[in-house]
Amino acid sequence: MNSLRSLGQDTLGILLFLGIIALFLAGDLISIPDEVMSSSVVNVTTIFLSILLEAIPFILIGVFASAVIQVFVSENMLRKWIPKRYPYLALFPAAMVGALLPVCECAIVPVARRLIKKGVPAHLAIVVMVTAPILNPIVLASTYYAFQNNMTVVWGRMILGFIAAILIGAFVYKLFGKRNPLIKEKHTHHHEHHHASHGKIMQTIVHASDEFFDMGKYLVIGAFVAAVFQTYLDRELLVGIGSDAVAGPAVMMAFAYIVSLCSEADAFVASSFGSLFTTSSLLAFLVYGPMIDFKNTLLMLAYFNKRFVLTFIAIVTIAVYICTFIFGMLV
Amino acid sequence: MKSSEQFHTYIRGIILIGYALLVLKLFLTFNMQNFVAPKMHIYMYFSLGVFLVLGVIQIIRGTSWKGKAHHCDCEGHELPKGFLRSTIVYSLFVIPVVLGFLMPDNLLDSSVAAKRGIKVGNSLFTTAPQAEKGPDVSNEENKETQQHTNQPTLGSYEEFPIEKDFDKLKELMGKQDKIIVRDEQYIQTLSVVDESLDEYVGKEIQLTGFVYKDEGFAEDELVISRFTVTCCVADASVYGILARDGDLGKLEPDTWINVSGIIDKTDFNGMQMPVIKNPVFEVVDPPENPYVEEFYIKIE
Repeated sequence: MNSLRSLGQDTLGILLFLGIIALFLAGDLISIPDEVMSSSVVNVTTIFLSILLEAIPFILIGVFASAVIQVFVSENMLRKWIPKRYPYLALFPAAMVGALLPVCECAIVPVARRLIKKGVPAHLAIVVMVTAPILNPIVLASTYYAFQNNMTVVWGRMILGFIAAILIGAFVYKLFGKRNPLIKEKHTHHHEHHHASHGKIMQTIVHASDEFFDMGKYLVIGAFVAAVFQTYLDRELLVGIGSDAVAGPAVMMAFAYIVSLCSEADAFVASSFGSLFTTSSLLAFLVYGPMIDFKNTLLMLAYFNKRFVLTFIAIVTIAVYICTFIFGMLV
Repeated sequence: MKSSEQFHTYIRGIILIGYALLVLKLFLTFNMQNFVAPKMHIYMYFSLGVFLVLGVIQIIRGTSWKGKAHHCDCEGHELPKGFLRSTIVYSLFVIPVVLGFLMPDNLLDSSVAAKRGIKVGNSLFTTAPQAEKGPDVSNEENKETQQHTNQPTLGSYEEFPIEKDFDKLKELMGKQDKIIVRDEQYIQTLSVVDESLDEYVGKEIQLTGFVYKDEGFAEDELVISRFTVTCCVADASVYGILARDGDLGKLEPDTWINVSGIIDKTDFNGMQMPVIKNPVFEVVDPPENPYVEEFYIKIE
């Protein structure tokens, strides 16, 4: 019975492999009937694949960065660095650490999770997670290029990103304190036994692959939903509401959430809205999107428990909305 | 006898190789730029390498009969349980690979443009501009200018120099009688025309783009447009220049054309903007790279 099963598994794998090879060699010779290939199907597919292909290298970088932290940063080192007695004061250096990491929002999720596993308090890891994709030299440059005629947006994005991140960290600490927001793990007792048996490099590679598959399934779903929204959502709908001082930022935040753009590119999309929106609406879009969006929600669900993710989204939404609203009143 | 963990490792290895082959094929067929902007390609080479290494290692681990599976339990990675769950999870990974192999050369079309709004000059059209009734003043003026200028002709794109520096480009364009919009500096060139429109009225302009028609456009109105891409086509926006001409207006949306015409200005919802008049054109195949790059000024 077992050998039969094993044979079946082998055949399945070989068939899959042969299928992929066949498609590699002759995929473009297969013509798909026009009824299936309507213009919107084509557009959804193109955008879906594009989001996926573009996010994958950054996920891989995040996975490797997390592996590097795992290998090179010990719990003791972190314990020494993190001021235990002043949880609120520690938010500021955490924001600085986030600013120093030049990674975008896909890559930072596995890093944040690794930091928490290494014993960094959750609220500090979260601050690193929300600041890294905004306070980042590449993002600053692309925002600068896109908004050369409106410098308020450029520095506004950095300042509001920083203030909102501190608020978010403070709220997370208030609500969750020192509780661990990660999904409970099984099999922790295997720990020692496995590490002894393999080399570190092999371990990292195996690890990266497992982590890719853990996050990958969420990425695929997230990319698909974002692609559907990108294709069907008529941006004309936004124009009327976007200039409203109260509803504008909220609508732009919702828009940022569902389109799930990379923080290095969203400034150009925002600048294409240009003068139709108030500065605070544009800032809401530019600050909220990198902190949380649909794709990232799913990535977070791979590691964090549901209750934490939902609360986190609520906190980010409130913090960013308040910041941009006050900004709109002042400027 | 193989354990279930080993089977998962084996299947995962094959899927990773599948992704590597997809990326490789997109590069070999020059289709990568249909999905990801050229300046991000370095990251795609990185994924290609990583997928290959991970895939080969996983397949070897998954098929070797020696020893136990080396699955790393310490991190709480969860393997999908049961046949149905595994099938669903792995299908999620296989679907993008299959889709990528089946339709690698699709371009975004004007139905996406309509949903996103088109950027013409510094303004965004998502709403239909009001069709103007009767010839306006600038139209009359234009007839005069047209008599003075030569009939537009379609020239070679290589005739016009590429200038990376925005200010030098401005200077260079000021000296030319005919502006040729090269893909390498598409947005820069159009911004210069838009910025100092009065200076360019009456000059000839040539560019390649696809036909976009908004529902509210008059029959002879269209925008000759291009998608601009920063990182991937998900962030694509549409950038173009308005044209008014009876023959051009008859073209189907999404037709790619090489157009040369005379720049004029028009009043559109209270905004002054350039419009191409009196054009000559030919229908062409989509260019090798249909997307143009966002406008970057180098900080010196």
